[in-house]
Order: sequence, then structure tokens, then C-alpha cells
Amino acid sequence: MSEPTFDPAQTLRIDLSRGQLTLMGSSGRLLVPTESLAELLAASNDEVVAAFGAAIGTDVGRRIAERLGSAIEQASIELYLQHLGGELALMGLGSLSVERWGKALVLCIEGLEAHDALEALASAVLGAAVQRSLSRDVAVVKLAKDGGLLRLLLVGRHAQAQIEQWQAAGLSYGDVLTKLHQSTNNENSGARGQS
Amino acid sequence: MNLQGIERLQNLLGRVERNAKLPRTRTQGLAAFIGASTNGAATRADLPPKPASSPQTAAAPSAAAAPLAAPSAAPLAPPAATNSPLIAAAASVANAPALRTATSDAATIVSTPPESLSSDLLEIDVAVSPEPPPVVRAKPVLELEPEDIPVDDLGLEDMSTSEAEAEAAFADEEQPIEDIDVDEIAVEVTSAITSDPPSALASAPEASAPEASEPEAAAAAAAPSPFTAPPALDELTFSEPPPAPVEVEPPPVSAAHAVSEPPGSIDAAILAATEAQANAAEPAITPPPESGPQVAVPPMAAPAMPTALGANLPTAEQLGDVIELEQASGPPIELEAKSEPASKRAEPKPEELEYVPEDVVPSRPVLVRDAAQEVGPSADERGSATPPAESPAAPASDLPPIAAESITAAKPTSPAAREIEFEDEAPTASSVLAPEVVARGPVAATRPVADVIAAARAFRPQSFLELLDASLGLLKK
Repeated sequence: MSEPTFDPAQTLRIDLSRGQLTLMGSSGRLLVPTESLAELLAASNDEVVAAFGAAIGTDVGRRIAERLGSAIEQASIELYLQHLGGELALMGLGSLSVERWGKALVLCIEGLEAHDALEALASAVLGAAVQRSLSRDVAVVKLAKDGGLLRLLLVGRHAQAQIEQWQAAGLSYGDVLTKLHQSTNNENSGARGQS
Repeated sequence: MNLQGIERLQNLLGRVERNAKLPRTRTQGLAAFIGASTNGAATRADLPPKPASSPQTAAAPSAAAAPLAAPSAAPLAPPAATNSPLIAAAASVANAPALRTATSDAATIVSTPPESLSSDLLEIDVAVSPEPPPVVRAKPVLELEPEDIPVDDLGLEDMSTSEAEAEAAFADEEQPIEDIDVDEIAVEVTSAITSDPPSALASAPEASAPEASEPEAAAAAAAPSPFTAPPALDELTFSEPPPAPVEVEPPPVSAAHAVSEPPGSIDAAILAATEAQANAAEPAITPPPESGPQVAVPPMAAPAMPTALGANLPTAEQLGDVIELEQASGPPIELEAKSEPASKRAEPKPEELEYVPEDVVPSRPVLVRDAAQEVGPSADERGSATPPAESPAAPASDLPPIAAESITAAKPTSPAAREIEFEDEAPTASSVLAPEVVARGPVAATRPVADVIAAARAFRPQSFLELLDASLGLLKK
């Protein structure tokens, strides 16, 4: 059975007579400038931004799940990335790529304007989309943004606080990831020792 | 006679035999050629007529001889006085009894069977013609018209190459063949076995191998000198003056092998030497079969076993320079017996080793004792009872033998060396060199011997969800 690939054809429709934008048959879209949206988000608090992004991400996740169907659990990294990155590209939130740092899943967004509010919005959208499509409680932690590349780490809720502490201590995202794995191994060895 | 001469004779014999197998026409022509080549008188025109028994084969030579015979009808002159065995042998073979009449004018030949040709060559008595016949130049065979003579009868293809070349050379020769007097030819005799008296040895000229094909050299010689028998081989000397003539008893020669005339050519000399060798005394190594069984020579007697102690003493030469050692001076060396406690004396206990101080050079390996396992006297007692120091140069045979046959294994209590106890038994070769046993202590098993460290398994997520789950599991308690 061939895997359903992402087909962006006819996904965005602009009805000039009615003055409406629709995306893949969903409700209408509003085409706004990125800087204006960033300023609006910057003026809002983080919860509002997180909620705004979660709403968008949930819709994205739904569409991914509808396209992949039951094969979403066995979908390869490349296939899921194709669908998730396509949705993100249709929204104008840049190009999405995946990095695997050991066991850590790092999503990289490239081409997103350097604005903290937009980065927060993108993080919220991705988290919600992954959560909606794969039914996993995911916490997205911004690792770093180097040369227009935004790296977002997908970890559990329990690890987000620790990672933020390490980042606050000045560790680089590489060290954070290394330490994340070491801590995991130590905890695992300690757990085996106790058993 | 050397082996080369014998080989030559054998080769000649083979040729003669081969020639005997040839048709009579060829042999006759060969005999005539040989006779003509030696005396220069015979020509192809003088070939004897062919017998009627072989008309085909005889037709060709006769036809060939017919034009050749035109210039001269002189009869076939007998060959000159030559004692060449080759010529005589060829003539004897060619002149078979059936052809004797045809070759009546040829040399008188004693009929002998071909088998004994080699030994009967000397029987040939060649008559010397008083006058040399005139030399007639014969026409070459090639000038014959092939139309008149059948090709098969020509016999040209049957002739050997050597014969054809010889005939052609003979035909092309323009100068007449001069008569060669055998007496004028100096002969070099290599064998001293002759029947001539030794008086003729003094006048033996320096021989040189004559060549029948060099009549010029023979003709240029001075007045013919009488042939003198060469000196005997035993009497030939190179540095010393010739000895006085001594009458030498002629070698035993059978009457059949008697040589009527001295050898006039090298071939005759070779024949004479061959004959002499054949009649020579048999080698001493191989006794003749008629001598009977030989008395076995007893093998060399084995050296007799020495019956007495001094029966086979080495000779002074074998010993060479013998240095006698001085007798030892001083009283003989005595060893004091150790005083053992009564408890040990009651029971047969193993002999203990005495402690040897370090300053004394031991003549045997030192055994280390474990003080905790001492059974006998203490170290102090041993130290006080140390026997007087022996001279390091004392021979080993004076020391008491070590009565050690069995070695009791030490208990593995400590890694230190333990005392080795010896039982009181007859000393053996293995007990003299007792090994020192050092046991290894036990190893405390506080930790497991092996700690297997698992290798890190590489994480290869097969799906996005798997990777997500792995990432979500980080720092998960």
C-alpha cells in the first residue's frame, strides 16, 4: 500500500468574487503581514500566543491525521515530515526539517523571521499538530536559533523544566542534549541497580 | 693396443659385413675400386664380368663398364702389395666362393668365413704384382646414356654416398696413381708386442702415420729402408739411455695368428696389437671360468674381545704424552656422622637436608626450608651441629647420597617455599635432583570474575512516532 504523500495542489483557494481564502476546504483564511502579526503577538502574553498557536496546530494535526489515516503510526519520519512541513509551509511559517540527536527529536524551522513571538507561535503550532496527529503530550522547547535556523526539541512535560534550567545555566543546546541523555542513562542504570 | 684401434676395427668389420650383404655387382665394383685406389692400377674398365646368375643387376654395371673398358682391355691387376685389412676384408667378402673364379686375377685370398673375419685378417696373403699396370682414366658414371641402361639396373641409387664420392674422386683424378711401396712407408707402432727380435729395435725409425692418399710424401722419401720392429713397450724410455738389448721372449701367438711379414702399415699394426691383446693374459680380477671355484678369502678377523684386563691396552702411540698425577698427600677425608635424636632414630624418618651456610660453596642445589613446618631439630640445633666445612673441591663421590625418593606436596597455606621431606629409601637417579615446589595461594572471590558490559545498541527509529516516543522518554522517571 503506497503511503499518501502530501499534495499541495488545490489546497489554497482564493475566491476573488467572494473575497475568501480557503485551505484544503477548511474555514477561511486571513492573509496578513508577518510583521504585523509578530507585533500583535509580542503585545500579547505568552499564554495567549501559546493558545493562538495551539489552535492553528490542532487544525494542522487534524488534517495530517485525515490524510495519513491509520498508517500515521507506522509513517516514516520522512513521510510525516512531508505532511507536517507542507502544512507549515502553507501557513507561511518557513521550511521544516528533523534532526535526531540520539533519542532526542529536534524540529528545525528555517526561513522564519527573527521574532520571538513568531518563534513562540511556531513552537505552539508544531506542538499542537504533533499532539493532535499522534496523540502524544509533547512539550516543545526552544533550543537555539543559529543563522536563521530555529531548533525546537520535543520532549515530555517532565523534562521541560530541567532543560530550561540547564539553558538558564548557560549550556548550549548540544550540551543540553548530551546532558539530557546522560541523565537519562544514569536514571536508567540507577533504576536497574535498585531492581 | 688402445680402445680406439679396436673401435676402428669393429667399424671396419661392420662395413665389411654390410658390403657382404650388398649385391655382387656392387661388391665387385667396390673391391675393384679399393684395389685400384691402393695400387693405382685397377680401373673401372678392369671390373670383372658379372656372373650370369644376376643378369639384371649385372647388366647395369656391365653396361657401365663397357664404355669404360674401351680405352684399355688390360686385365684387372692385382692390388699392390698391401696388407690393409680393409682391402683384404673387402676382397674376401666380395670374392665369395661363387665369385672366386671371376676374381681369379685378383689377390690371392684365403677363404675365411665372415664371422671370423676380424681374427683372420692376418691370414690374407697378398701377392705383389711385379709390374704396375698402366693407369687408365675411366669415364665418370654420369656420362652414360640413361637410355641404354635401365635405371634400376644402374644401381646408382643403391650406392652409398661415400662410395659415389670416392668413385667420382677417383674418376676426376688426372694424375696417375703412383705405386706405393709398402716398405717405404714408415709405420708408427704403438704396441710392443711383436714377433721380431729385439735387435731390430735399435734401428727403429721415428714412425709417422702413413697415409695411402699421400703418395707424394712416400715417394719423396729416401731409399727404402728396411723395416725394423719397434722396441717393446717395456723397453721404451724417454729420459734414460736405451738399455742393452735383451732377448725378449716372444708373446704366445698361435700358429693361425702368426704374422708372416712385419706390419707394413698402421692398420696391420693395429691388427697385431688387437691380436696380442686378445691373447694377452687374462685379468687378474676376473678369473677365467675354467679356473674353478675360488677359495673364499676369510673376512678380516674382528678384534678379539679382551680376555684379560690388560689384554688390549692402548699403545704408547695411542696414548701420546701421558702425565702421571701425583698421589694425594695427607690422611683420607672422613665425615662425621650426625647425632640424631632418639625419637627420630626409633622410626625410619626421612633424611633431612643439612643447612649449608652461604659462605660455603655448595656442591649441590640448595633447598629452602619452611621454618613453620620443621619436624627435626630447630635451626639453632642445626646451626650448632653444622659439620665442619668441607673443602669446596671435595669430590662429589665422598658426600653421602641423598635418600630422597618421594616428595610430599606442601600445603597451600602460603606462597612461600616449604620443606621437602624425603623418605628413607634407596637413593635413585630422580631423587638426586629434587625440584622445589611452590604452590599458588587461593584467590579470594570478592567480586565476580567477569563483568560483562553490554555494548550500546544503536537507536534506529523506524517511524516518526518511535522517534517521538524516544524523545518524550528522555528524563522520564
